[in-house]
Amino acid sequence: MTGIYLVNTALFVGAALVLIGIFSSLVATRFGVPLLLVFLVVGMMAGQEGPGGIVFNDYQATYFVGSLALSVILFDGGLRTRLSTFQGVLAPSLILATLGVLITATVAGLAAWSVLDLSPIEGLLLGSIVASTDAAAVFFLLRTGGLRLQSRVGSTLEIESGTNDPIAVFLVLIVTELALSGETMPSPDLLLRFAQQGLLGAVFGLTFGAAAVWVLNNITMAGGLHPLFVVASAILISALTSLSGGSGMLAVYMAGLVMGNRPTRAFPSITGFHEAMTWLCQIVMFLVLGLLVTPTELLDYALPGAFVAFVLTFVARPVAVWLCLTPFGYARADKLFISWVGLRGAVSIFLAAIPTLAGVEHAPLFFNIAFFVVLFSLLFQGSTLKIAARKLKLALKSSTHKLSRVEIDIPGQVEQEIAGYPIGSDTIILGLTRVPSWARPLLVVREGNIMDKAEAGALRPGDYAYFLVPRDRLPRLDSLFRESPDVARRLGPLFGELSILGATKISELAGFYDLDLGDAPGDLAIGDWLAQKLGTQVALDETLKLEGARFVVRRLEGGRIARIGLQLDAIMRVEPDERLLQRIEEEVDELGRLRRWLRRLSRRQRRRKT
Amino acid sequence: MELSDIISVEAVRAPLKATSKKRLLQDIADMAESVYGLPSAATYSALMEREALGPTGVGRGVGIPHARFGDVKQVKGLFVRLEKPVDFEAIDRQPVDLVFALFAPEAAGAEHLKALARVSRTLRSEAVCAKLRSTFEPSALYAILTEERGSQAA
Repeated sequence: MTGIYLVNTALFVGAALVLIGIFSSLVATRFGVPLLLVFLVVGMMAGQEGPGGIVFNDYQATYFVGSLALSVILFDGGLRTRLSTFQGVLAPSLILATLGVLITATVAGLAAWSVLDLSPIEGLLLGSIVASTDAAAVFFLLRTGGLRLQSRVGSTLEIESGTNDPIAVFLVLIVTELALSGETMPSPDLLLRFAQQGLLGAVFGLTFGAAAVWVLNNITMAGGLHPLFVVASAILISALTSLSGGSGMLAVYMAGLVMGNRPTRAFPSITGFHEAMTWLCQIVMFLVLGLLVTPTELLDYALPGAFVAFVLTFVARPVAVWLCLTPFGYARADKLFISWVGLRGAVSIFLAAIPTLAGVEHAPLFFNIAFFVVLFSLLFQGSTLKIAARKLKLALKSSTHKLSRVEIDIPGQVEQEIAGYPIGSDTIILGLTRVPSWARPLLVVREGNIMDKAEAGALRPGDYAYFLVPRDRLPRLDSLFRESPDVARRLGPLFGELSILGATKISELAGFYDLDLGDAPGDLAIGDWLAQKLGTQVALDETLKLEGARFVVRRLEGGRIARIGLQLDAIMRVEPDERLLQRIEEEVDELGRLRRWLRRLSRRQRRRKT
Repeated sequence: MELSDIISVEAVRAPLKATSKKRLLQDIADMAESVYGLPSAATYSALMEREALGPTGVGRGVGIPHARFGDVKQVKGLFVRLEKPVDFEAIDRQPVDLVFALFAPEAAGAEHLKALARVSRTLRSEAVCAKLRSTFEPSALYAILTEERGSQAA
């Protein structure tokens, strides 16, 4: 029975730690503390010297958890990297991620070797451990910090941090091996191994990534299994590549890249699932690393740790950035900022566990210094990002706009998907006059009723709007459905609309505009004519399209249309097109299912309201 | 259709002093006579007739009064920047200081609508309006109005 008791205790403690971390994060983010630091600290508090008192020194288990977590995180990084949006910065970012890591590792290594009591190869090992910027930390601080950067700088940082982890991982693995074999100097053999690992990793990743996409698209599996299939494939790819002598981390990243940039079935559910998985992995990783460290021991390494952190931040990283990016014409401010955002994270601590596992000499030194560097980076660089961006004039207007989107996978179809957005009173789309032509409005759910877009007319706060949209345009559509405080200000009456009194006789009006109103009698009031045309559903914002113009109901008085807006050019909010729905019904035989689902959704919403 | 087809630099006047909408339309009718040879009285009554159907203030301080009557030979426009905005009964209740007046012949057909759409599309741009509000120099105003612009889509 003690076995079962132990398992339950472990489950209890683990889950409790995650929950404590989540709740502390609620408090901590208010003070601008990086969230990942919170989990690290929670881990330390629970550890052997904190109130938790849990003694955890299992590097083997840490490595296992770390590899697993890192595979998932890196795969997710690949999945989210849209190559098409990164075309201009791909080359500089990749050079920074490969050559840049080597330069950073070498410079930091040289400094460590010259000051600490280490051999050159051990210095290089230390340099490699702290050389990579952490994708999780960078993405997280850039995105959730509400910081919007100029696209070139932001994209460079994103790609770099996503791609340099695998490079650093196999650099560390190789240098560890060298250190174990008793070599003290880097040899040409190193470069060869480096190339082999990289090549195999890339080939395995691309091949298996494409294979996984093929399986997803061609083999029908039960709906809920798609994301699980992907996670399992990612871990399999990573492990298989490592077993075959390639870099598993690079492979898994490449596989994610393939999947994220190819039309893939069930993509929304996969990314949704992966987002949660990535969170979990990061939390677990930081918790475990926090548990692993012994704070008093950490203090012993404070001085060398501070030295390495200093050299890394102020010398190694800037040197690498300058050497790699200057040929591409980056401005000085860009390079300064990219240097400053060389955030280190869990990957470095995880990498520091490798020498310990392998039994390299001075292993505690590597681990504690790496830990110190990460703490320093998260604390100082992490909390000064916004100030740095503002000082260097790289921050765009802050956009912490909220976005909630529902994605619906269209069965048997991978290029397009259906995206649904709630419309709030400040949603940007309300301030715009039209929806981009590539986004096809499908349905609007208003007050529990499902309308096609012709019935719905212009979107209103409280609506849910659903669009058919090419997958690669989704981020652009998202930007129209964020909340922005400017919208309310811009929401006055539409500009460019001529106003016409409802009582105007058709003969008078037609004389002015040559509008083709069919054989309407000349002495009929235009408001009454419009009411007839619109049928029973006369309401504000109802629209009637004519050749070259359109009428919009602007004011109702005593059931009659008192004022009409005459819009002259092709500005429209949601263009009515009845044929669209029909066409989609033909294209997508499962639309019925979607409709039932929407109806359920709206019913649920109504219930929530009451 | 481009705005340069319907307006010339002679048809731009700024700053114009007007104390009311009626006064403004009267001034525009006088301008139409001096620039295009249209009889002032006929122009004024045609403009007023259109306003009676519903004010042509389209919002954000912009007015597009327009008229269609027998004396007009082809679609023509006038642009005026007022020294002080006047009340125009606009949909957003903002007084108007940028006024683009349009005159169309009885037989203009779709041309009339196209010209109106063109004017409204140009003046919808807040950037264009801001520029127009930065100068009283007729030639500068003309240049801003007729400046080549890429996509006019909102």
